Amino acid sequence: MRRLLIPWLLFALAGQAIAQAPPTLVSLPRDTEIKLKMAQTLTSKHAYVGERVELVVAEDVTVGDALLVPKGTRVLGTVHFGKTKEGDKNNPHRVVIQVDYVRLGDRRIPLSGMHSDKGTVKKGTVVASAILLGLSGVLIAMNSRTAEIKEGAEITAFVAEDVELPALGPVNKSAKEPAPNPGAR
Amino acid sequence: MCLHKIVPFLLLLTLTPAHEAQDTSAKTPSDPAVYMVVFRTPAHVRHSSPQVFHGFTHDLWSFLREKNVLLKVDPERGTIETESEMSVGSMLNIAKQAGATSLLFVTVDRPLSKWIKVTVQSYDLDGKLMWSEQASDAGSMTGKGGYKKALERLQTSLARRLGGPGLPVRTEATIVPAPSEGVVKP
Repeated sequence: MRRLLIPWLLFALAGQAIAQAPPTLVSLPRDTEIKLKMAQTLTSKHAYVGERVELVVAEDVTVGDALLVPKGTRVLGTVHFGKTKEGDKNNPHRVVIQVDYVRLGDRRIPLSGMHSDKGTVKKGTVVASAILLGLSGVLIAMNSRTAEIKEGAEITAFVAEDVELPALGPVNKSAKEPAPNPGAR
Repeated sequence: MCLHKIVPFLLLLTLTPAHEAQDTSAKTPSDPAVYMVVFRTPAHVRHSSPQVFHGFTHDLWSFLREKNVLLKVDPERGTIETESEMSVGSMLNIAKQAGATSLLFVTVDRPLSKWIKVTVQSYDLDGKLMWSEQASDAGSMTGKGGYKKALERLQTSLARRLGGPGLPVRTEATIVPAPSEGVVKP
């Protein structure tokens, strides 16, 4: 009995020790590209410098077979160019955001990247304004343009410094590999 | 040999659940808690001031704290007070990652016919609207009076929902550390 029990106990303890080992740290190198998505709509009418911006990770961030940052993780940015302060009635016609960091649990992984929108003027609006008001109509129409970064807009950011992160699990291969094309021969 | 004495302890040790992979992306909500997002409509931006908007948010937050509602303080932003549109899905994602169990979405509006109009909507984490309350005032002589009346009306209607779904309150059994910060502007 004892001959069987001791190896079994040693085997079980070894397994437990492996299971309780801290998760493997994987290095996420600087300048790794991270696909993000806007989690809110931002317009030059409302966005003011310093305002926080919500984004999310659009695609799983992986290194080798290790999943480091899952899709949907919260990312925070800041309005870099916009109205000078909240409540300002001016429309700067342009909005620029700066991506700051990924919030992964209690950790902040610094990111770098910017995204901007200059706003567009609709041709129809300009033509209609020109017909109705002449040259002043064109100027009014040009001045009324609003820059907008819509929710869901894709943005690319980069890891700002080398970081070591615990692997959250293996990459979901079935989700990554494209489905075979049944029509292909 | 005293092996037979330590065997039960070793067995207990080996049968202890193994260390699970740490998912740091979302905190598992254990206690019910509410995440509050306050949105300022374009009409309020046009016809009112940021002070009124932030003041109302502060008064509402203070009322809920006074009634021991379990509010989740976002370590990044405190409470989101924004003029930018955000989908309920995005707000729920933030609420989930903050460890909340429901979302309280407050819309502060300024229609032409009213001094202020406030809508409070409560969502569960699946995005289902649990309830909605609205308060406004049009009859007051001044904007200040309208603000006060709307706030009182909202407090009366929210008081009826205290302790129910979407507005969990702290009981004696619930031990929750006081948040280190209050309402933080974005």
